[in-house]
Amino acid sequence: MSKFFSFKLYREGIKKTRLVGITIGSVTAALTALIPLARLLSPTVYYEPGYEPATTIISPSDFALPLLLLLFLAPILTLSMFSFLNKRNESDFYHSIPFTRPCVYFSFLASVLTWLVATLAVSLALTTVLWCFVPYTALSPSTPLLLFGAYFLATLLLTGFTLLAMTLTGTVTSNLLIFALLFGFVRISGALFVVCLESQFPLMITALTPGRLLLPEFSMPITLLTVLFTGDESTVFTNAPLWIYTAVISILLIAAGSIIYTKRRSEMAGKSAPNRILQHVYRCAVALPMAFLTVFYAIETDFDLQGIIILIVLTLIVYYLYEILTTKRLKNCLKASLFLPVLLVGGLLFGGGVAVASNVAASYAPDADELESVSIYKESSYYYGDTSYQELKTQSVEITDPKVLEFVADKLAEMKAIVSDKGVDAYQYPNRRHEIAYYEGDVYYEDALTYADPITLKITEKSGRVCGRTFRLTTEDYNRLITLFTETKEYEDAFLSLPAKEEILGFGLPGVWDAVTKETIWNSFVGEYSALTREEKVEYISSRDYYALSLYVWGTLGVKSFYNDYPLNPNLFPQTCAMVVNAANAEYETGFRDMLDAFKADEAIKVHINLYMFDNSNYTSGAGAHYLEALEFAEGCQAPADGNAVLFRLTFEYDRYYFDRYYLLSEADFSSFCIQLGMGQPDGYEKPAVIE
Amino acid sequence: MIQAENVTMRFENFTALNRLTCTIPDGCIYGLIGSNGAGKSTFLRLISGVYRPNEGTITVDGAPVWENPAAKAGIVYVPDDLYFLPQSNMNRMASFYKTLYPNFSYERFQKLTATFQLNPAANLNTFSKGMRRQAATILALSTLPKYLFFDETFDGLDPVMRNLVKQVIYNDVMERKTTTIITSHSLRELEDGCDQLALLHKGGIVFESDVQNLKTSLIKVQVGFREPFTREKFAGLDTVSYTQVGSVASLIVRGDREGLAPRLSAMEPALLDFLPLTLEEVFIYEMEALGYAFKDVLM
Repeated sequence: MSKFFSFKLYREGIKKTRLVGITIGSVTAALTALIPLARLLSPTVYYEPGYEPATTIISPSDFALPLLLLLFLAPILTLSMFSFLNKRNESDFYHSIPFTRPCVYFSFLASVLTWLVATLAVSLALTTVLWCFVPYTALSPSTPLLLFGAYFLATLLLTGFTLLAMTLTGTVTSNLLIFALLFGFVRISGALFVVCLESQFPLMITALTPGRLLLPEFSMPITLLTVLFTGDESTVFTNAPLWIYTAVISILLIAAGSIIYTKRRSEMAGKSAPNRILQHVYRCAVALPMAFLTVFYAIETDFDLQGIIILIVLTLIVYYLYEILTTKRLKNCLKASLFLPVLLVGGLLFGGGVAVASNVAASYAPDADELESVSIYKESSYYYGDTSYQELKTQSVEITDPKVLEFVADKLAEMKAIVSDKGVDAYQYPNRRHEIAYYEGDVYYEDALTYADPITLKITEKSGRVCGRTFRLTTEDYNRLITLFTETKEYEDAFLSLPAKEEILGFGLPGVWDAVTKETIWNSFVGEYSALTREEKVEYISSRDYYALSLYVWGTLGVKSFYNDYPLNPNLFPQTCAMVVNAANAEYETGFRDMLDAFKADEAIKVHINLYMFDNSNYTSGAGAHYLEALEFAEGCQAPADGNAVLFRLTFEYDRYYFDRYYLLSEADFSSFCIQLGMGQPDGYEKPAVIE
Repeated sequence: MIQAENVTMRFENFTALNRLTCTIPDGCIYGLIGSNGAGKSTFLRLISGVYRPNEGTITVDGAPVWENPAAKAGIVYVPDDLYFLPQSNMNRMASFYKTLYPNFSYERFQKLTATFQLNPAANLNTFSKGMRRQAATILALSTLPKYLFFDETFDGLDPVMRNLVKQVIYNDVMERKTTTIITSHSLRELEDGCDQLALLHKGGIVFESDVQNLKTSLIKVQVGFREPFTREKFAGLDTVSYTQVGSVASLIVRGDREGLAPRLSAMEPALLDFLPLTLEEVFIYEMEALGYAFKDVLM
């Protein structure tokens, strides 16, 4: 008989929780399947009949909402499985059976996890199969696997928290309250502390401190919930530190639960705490976040008395309500009152902690010889795709050049001096004085320096300590810093590099849907980019232009995701542009020809035409023969042999059809085409070769 | 054999058992009596492995019970507050017990279910308190245990059913030599079946004896003389209790009738009568001899 696992007990555990497991599992699976099923059964809601729409990539978020039920299933199943810990007779029974306590604990835990895994697997398998039948959708094989991993870890974490709460307490009410405390206390307190600290000293980057592990974004269930609202899937599904952290915390929670379970006395069942001392500890811990919130509010609002009083009353309500709910005795409130000073001390420690931490952070100014390296840091964005490949690559370049270190040390000393003398606002908003003067009717910017956008640096000391500081530099200093950086070869190499094949997760190119074609186009682009001179590359990468005719690339560099658009300039990438034109036009050749035929048959057909190009766009709408003539003109033009061409894309909305057409014309032909369409002469382009 | 040595069990400020020492031989029906809070249930939980003693040791067949599945495999504990799986019937419970106890016998289960005339397919929630006790007893006996512990098991049973349950338990002991511990706060519940009786009071065994010896250890004698007399007249006897009204004295004397009769007859009494004592009376006198007032211990 194993000391840690019994298959028989595991089977009994499965039977014991089957009602909860089957009910919630079926509901979850059914709801998850409902989404693809709805698209399968009612296609007209999602796309027009008779028209072939673009393929939609199914993202993890398309699955996610019903799967959130699993986050509730985990604690419910655990509460149901280990409910015997809350009833004396049941607790005695399970402690008297001929199995070791770890064996009971782990066998029943395995039963809970089996239900969770089964629900997750069935839901995802069913949905994946159904998505395969939904037309015009594509599902990456990694999507269900990523969802499985993320949700399994989230449920494992919640199971761990529930188990720990159940082993620490002995009533359902106290189970739930301690669960909420364990799950939320660290996160709420951590978030309050960090927000408070950042508001006191906004120049520091808390994400670079070990304290970031305490923030809500490092809780898998919370991030899974927030991803529904933010849509930023990179915060969960490609965030390896979060996965590792969640797995480690879950294992630690389960291990702690097993130790407490083994040592737990059976008579604890039915009691809110093993003894009065722990009852005081639990009660104070439940109310402490409210005390922190009160201090936080006081600091943030510069001691708004009315709000503080309300929060103090709420803190007391939480404090006494816990006692009443868990012990069901009003008279215990009297004894509980003796421990109220704990909340006061806790609140003071919180406020004191924030003050000390912000002062320590504000006085940070190591000498240059103490610094190991510096890199440009940019905080992870909440929006997928905000971080470019170049940003990620350059972030990983640690500059050790003494000149850079000297410069940064000087600027840190300057920051310390200004913050110490005039306060953090004076550093953060150096022009505020002048702005105020302006509003007061005085001379604006009389003696103001011009400041560049804030830049955040990651500073690594030789001792291994890592800090992040946001610098507000004058334009002159900013340019000097960037020059110092770019003088470093490894920085420039990183800046000019393109994503490697293994780092890319996907491509996007309007009008081109075939993955192989897109990859071929990308390979062509990489080839032509490699052939550019270093100066051309610097100019191309530096002049970021977010416009329609771009090749979009997304992927992951290490554990961070990137999203780039590479504008398709026909002068730099003629071969790639020609491939794009051919590939995109082939996709909708039939539709386009049908439209031209329809025009020929009936000139009154209404059409909406959008024109997109590298640095311009235009729109026209209506009916008329000139559309047909303009299009026939463009179709008859040849791409210029000298490479000095204009690449543009037309999108058509015609009779509820929607498609793209690319053209690669000379500037003169392009001008002529625009005039024929009725869009007028485009600025900055050659006079038309043909004017009708 | 169950051995408890200097076992102490504390619950915060309350000491339920205080340096308790006892030995329960194999094949014995051990009756443990005591008032509420005396420590009976705590003792059973300790020897079932539910509790771990704060001090002292508890062994079953020489092995500690705590976290010892091998030792616990032969032990079944039927508590005062019974546990059944939610919405289950006896068949489901039998399959559950089969999972937990390797020796569980379906044959015995069916036989006992028939004896008690219980419907094994009926939901246990529909059973009366007495029927639930029967069901728990059936399940416990079906595990063919070496050690059976019943906590206040006969409470809630009507006299007929109480006798039936007792009979089934006693038969099992006879057939399989099962060591059985039965606790009760009523001596009358235990006097007719136990081999040994122990009285638990304030966390310790204040009195323990073989029932047969106990029943024959004391005898009540009524004796009268024509001439005046005092207690000193019986100085040669091991007198536990003495009362005198006029010329008639009532004595509780340690010893048997055969030994006492010639000695008392030699005193030429005008009246000599030997009266049997109930077990409860024996207990009362033995307790008084130890300095305890029986009503304090069991009331």
